[in-house]
Amino acid sequence: MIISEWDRDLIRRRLNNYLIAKRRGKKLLPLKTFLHNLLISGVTNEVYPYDGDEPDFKEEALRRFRANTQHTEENKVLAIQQFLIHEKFLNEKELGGDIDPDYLPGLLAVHDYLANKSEEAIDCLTKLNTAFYTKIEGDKYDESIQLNIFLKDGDAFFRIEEICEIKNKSSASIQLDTKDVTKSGKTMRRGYGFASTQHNIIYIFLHGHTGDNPVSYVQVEIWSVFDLNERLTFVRSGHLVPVVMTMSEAPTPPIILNNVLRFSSDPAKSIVNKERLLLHTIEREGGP
Amino acid sequence: MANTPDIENKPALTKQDPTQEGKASREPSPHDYNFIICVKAFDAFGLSSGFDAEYNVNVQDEHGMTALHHAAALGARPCIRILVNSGKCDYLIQDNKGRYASDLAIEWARDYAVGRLLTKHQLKQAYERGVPAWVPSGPARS
Repeated sequence: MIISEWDRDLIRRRLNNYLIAKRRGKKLLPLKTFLHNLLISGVTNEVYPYDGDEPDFKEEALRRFRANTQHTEENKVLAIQQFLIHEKFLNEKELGGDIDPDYLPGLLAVHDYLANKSEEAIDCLTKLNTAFYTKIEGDKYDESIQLNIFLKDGDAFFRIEEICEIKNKSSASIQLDTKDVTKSGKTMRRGYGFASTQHNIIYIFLHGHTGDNPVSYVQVEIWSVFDLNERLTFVRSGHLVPVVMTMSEAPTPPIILNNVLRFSSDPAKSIVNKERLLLHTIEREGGP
Repeated sequence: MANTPDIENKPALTKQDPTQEGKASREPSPHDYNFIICVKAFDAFGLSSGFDAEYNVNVQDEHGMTALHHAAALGARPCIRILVNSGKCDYLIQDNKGRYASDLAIEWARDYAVGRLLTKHQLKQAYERGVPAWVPSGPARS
């Protein structure tokens, strides 16, 4: 059984809740005590060895899992999961990458109406890379966007999260740690995507932590045998960092597609969308 | 300003602000929401100037979220630093989905260091008030 990153995150949060709920005065329940409770619970495969040896599951592994500093083995995460379910800090219905009930009816309706459910479309999704990156440079803000894709085999849709990291250049005037200034904020949105029409165009619908700032993506390039999935171009609708655009290179009349972003699957080759300006000349014979 | 809430049409608060004891009957003023507006715009400078006046930093928006909830969810570290240092934040407020600010730091910002910091304050405040530090809610209970 493979536990997805999505579920690991959930288990991590519930572990934190458990430690808070079982606090000792002003302090969290020690991880050592949590581990002891888990090992004697009898609801997981992780137990104290009969010969009196140290258990395989060490406190350090638990600490690293909680801090997400190292990939924890599946059997250990599963033990934490089973223990938290037993302690009613976690519900099985929440696991398995199932859909947030707040958005399920909407997703099903859109998917039913728009998605291409053919084998070709599903095959197309399986070829998608797991992450895409882009950067946008502006006068006051720099923004980088990362799309993380989570796909289960055979599904006609995928889960996706968008991480926008915004660096506010003006915040340097505030006397704060350099580390804080360089990382002004990170906006995460989560949602779903699928392929639509005979061209298998990708549609993505995302929502943020309040649910009222949705963002959607629609792929604008038809799949190319040359690009494979190394590059994707999307029209992005929703919240954008205000960027001052220059019109110096703009032909007349221009189509300004300031919400068209090109993503690369390689972070090192992340494409910089300077001034988020993409221009196309319309050649009109005979003029307007 | 991006994503600014409509401060004129804010619903009345449904939860009492525990840090505003004695002032509980006070209706939130539109200025109170400036904290949330500043955080959503990552405006740490604007946020710090709000503490000069006697505004309520723990005012909740239509989602039951305070400025601290938004700052935690957005991973806005400069804003979190200012809010925490003000000493006026209530770490025990849950939003309409039952989430604490510490939950949001982990769930939406994946900022585990901030999550630990907010958890620490949450525990301390609960201990001082003699109330539970975590009240279960949501699907885990069902």
